[in-house]
Amino acid sequence: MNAANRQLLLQVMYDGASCGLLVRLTWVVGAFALIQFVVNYHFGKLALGETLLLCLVCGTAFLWCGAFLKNAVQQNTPANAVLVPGLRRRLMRLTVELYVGATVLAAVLSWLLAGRPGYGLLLGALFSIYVLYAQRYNWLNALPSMVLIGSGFVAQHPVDDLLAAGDAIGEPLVTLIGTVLLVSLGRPALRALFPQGGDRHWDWYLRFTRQQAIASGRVLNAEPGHGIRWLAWLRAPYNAALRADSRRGANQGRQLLHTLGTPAHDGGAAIYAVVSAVIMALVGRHLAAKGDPVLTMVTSTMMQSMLMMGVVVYVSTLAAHAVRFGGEQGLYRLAPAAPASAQFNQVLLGALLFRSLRLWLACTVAVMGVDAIILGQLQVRGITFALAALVLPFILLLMRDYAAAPPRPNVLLGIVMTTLVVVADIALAMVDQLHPGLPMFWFGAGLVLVTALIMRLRWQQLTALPPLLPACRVAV
Amino acid sequence: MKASVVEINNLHKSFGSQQVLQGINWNIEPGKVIGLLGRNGAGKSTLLECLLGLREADAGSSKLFGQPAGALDEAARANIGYVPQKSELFEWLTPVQLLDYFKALYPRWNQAKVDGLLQRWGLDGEAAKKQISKLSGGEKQRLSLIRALAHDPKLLVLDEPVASLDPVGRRDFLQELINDVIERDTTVIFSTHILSDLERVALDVAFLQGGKIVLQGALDELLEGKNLSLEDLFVEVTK
Repeated sequence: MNAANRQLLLQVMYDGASCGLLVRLTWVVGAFALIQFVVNYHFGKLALGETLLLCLVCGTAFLWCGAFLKNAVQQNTPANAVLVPGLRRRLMRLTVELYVGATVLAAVLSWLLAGRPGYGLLLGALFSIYVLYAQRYNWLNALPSMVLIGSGFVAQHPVDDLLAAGDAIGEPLVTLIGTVLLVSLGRPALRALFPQGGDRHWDWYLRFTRQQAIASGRVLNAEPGHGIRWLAWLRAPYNAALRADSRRGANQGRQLLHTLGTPAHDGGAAIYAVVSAVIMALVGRHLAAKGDPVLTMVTSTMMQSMLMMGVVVYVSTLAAHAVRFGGEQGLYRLAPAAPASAQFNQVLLGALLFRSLRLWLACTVAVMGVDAIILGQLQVRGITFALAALVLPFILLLMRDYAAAPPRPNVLLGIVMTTLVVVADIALAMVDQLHPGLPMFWFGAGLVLVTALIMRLRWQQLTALPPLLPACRVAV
Repeated sequence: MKASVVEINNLHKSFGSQQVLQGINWNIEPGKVIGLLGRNGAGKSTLLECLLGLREADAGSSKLFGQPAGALDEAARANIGYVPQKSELFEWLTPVQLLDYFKALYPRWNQAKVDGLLQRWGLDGEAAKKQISKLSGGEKQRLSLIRALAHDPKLLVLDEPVASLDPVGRRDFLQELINDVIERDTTVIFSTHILSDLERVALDVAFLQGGKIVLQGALDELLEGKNLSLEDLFVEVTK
C-alpha cells in the first residue's frame, strides 16, 4: 500500500470520536476469536460455534467499512475534491476495495453456514450498495425499519420463494446476473457519494457536516421544533417562561437555568406527561372494559413506565447538554442579579432539584391517576409506585460538578439511561408477575429514602465547591 | 494616585502540564485604555477570564474595584462589561430576547443607547427577531458588543471584539468606543490582533509572552525614538 492510501485510511483512526467504540469492539471480537481458537486447539471444537464468530467478524468488517466511508466523505470536501490531485479517485477506489473485501467475507460466511456463497456475495454487495446510497440520501436510513415493519404484514415466505426461484435458475447464473446488476448500481452510487465540487456538492456537504455536528453534540439541537417554521408553536411555552423570567426581580434560580439552554425548561416534558396520561387512561379504560385483568395490568404497567420515561429523558438531556453553555454561564456570572459566589451552587442545585423533582412528582401523580381510572377506585399499586421510584435516582445525574466536566456533551447518556430504565422496568414487572406477593411499595419507598440520603450527601459536597458554573472551565 | 480598577498579583494558571500564566502582575488605573497583545495561544483569553473571576487561578490574586474577582458584589458586577472571544452565545434566543433577559439582570440599563446601537449597527427590524444562531458572525459580534455596552460599564473587557467584523463594522465600533466609552473615562482592556485598530484607541499596551507581561507602557513612549511601528515592536517583543 502506498503512503497516500495509508494516510487516507489512517484518518479513520485519527477520528477518535467515531472509531473509539469500534476499536474496543474489535478488541472484544479479537479476544473472542482467540478464546475460540484456544478452545478449539485443546478440545477440537469451537466453544460457541463458528457461526457466531464469523457473524461477529463479518459485522465488524462492515462497521469498519462504514466508519471509513463516513470519514472518506468528510475528506472529499468540495475544495479537496477539485484541488487535491487524485484524492477523490483514491477515496473511491479504497471504498470499493474495502466493501468488496467485506462482501467476500460475507460470501465465505454464507458458504460455511448455508453452502451458498453466491447468495452471500449478492447479499453483501446489496448491503454495501445500500450503505453507499444511504450515506448520500438520508431518507434511505428509514428503509430497514420500513422493511422490518412491512415484513410483519407478509404472511407468506417471500425469501423461501426467492431462493427456490434462484435455485431453479442456478446459483452461479443468479450470482453472475446479480453481480452485473449490482455493479451497475454501485457506480452511480459512488459518483453521487463523492461529487467533484460545484454548488450541489457544497449544498450537500454543508448539510452533511451539520448533521455530523448535531450527532456529536457540537451544534445546538435542543430548540423545540428544531427551528422549523411550522413547528415554531412548540417554542411558545419556553418563550412564555423566558418572558416571565426576563423581569427584574424574577426568581434567581429560574433566571439561572436559562444559561443551561432550552433543555432546562420542563414545559415539553410536562406536556408529554399530560398528553400521555390522558391517552393511557383512555386505552386502559378500553382494555378494562374488555374484561382481561392480566392484559390490562401488564399493558398499563408498560404505559406507566413510558410515562415516567419523560423524567429520564428530561434529566439525561439536561445533564448532557448543560456543559455546552460555558460562555453563556460566564456572562451570567458577571451580571449583578446572579447569585453571589458563596450562594451560587445552592441556587443552581436548588433550581435543578426543584424543577426535576416537580416533574417527577407530577409524573408519579399522573401514573397513579392512570391506575385509579383503570381500576375504577383510588388505589395505588405497589408496582406503579416502584416504577416511579426507580426513576428518582436518575435525578442525581444533575447533581454533578459541571466546572470539572469534560467539554463535549455525552450524547450517549440519554440512550444508556433510557435502556437502563427499560431493562429495569421490564425486570421489575416480571418479578411482580412471578411473585405477586412481594412488597413492591416498600421497595419503592426504600429506593426513595436511599436516593434522598444520597441527594443530601451530594448537596453537601457540591455546595462546598467553588461555583459549579461556568461549566468545563477546569477541564479546558 | 488613584486606586487601581484591576489589581493582579503573581497570577499563575496552568492546564495540566501547560503553564499558561506564570506570575502575572498587572495594575490598571481608572480611565486607562490598554491594548493586550500577544501571539496566538499566549494566554490572553485565559488572563482576561482569570482577571474577571471566570476561572480560578492556581496561585495569586485578581481584584476588581478592590474586591476579589471570584467574590464580586452586585455593585462591582454592575460596573463590568465583557465581550468574550466566542460570540456564538445564547443562540436559541433572538437579539430582543437576549437583551431583555440581560436587562432584567442589571440595575442600570441604557435602553436609549441599546436602541440607537441596534439601529446604527443594522440589528433592528427583521434581524432583531431572528434567532441568534441564524445571524452572521459579524452580527453576532455586534450584538455581543451592544450587550456589553448597554449598562454603561466602568470597566470594559474586550477579548478580540472586532475579529469577525468587516472594515465598516470595525470603524463603527471604534467610533462608539472613542466617542462614548473612552470619553466617559471608562477603563478598557482590549485584546486584539488588529494593530491598526489598537493604535486608534489604546494609549497603553501590554505584551503577554511566556505567561508574563513582558512589556507595558504608553504606546507613544514605547515607540518613541526607536523608529519602529507597532507591528515591528510586536514582532520584536513576542519572538
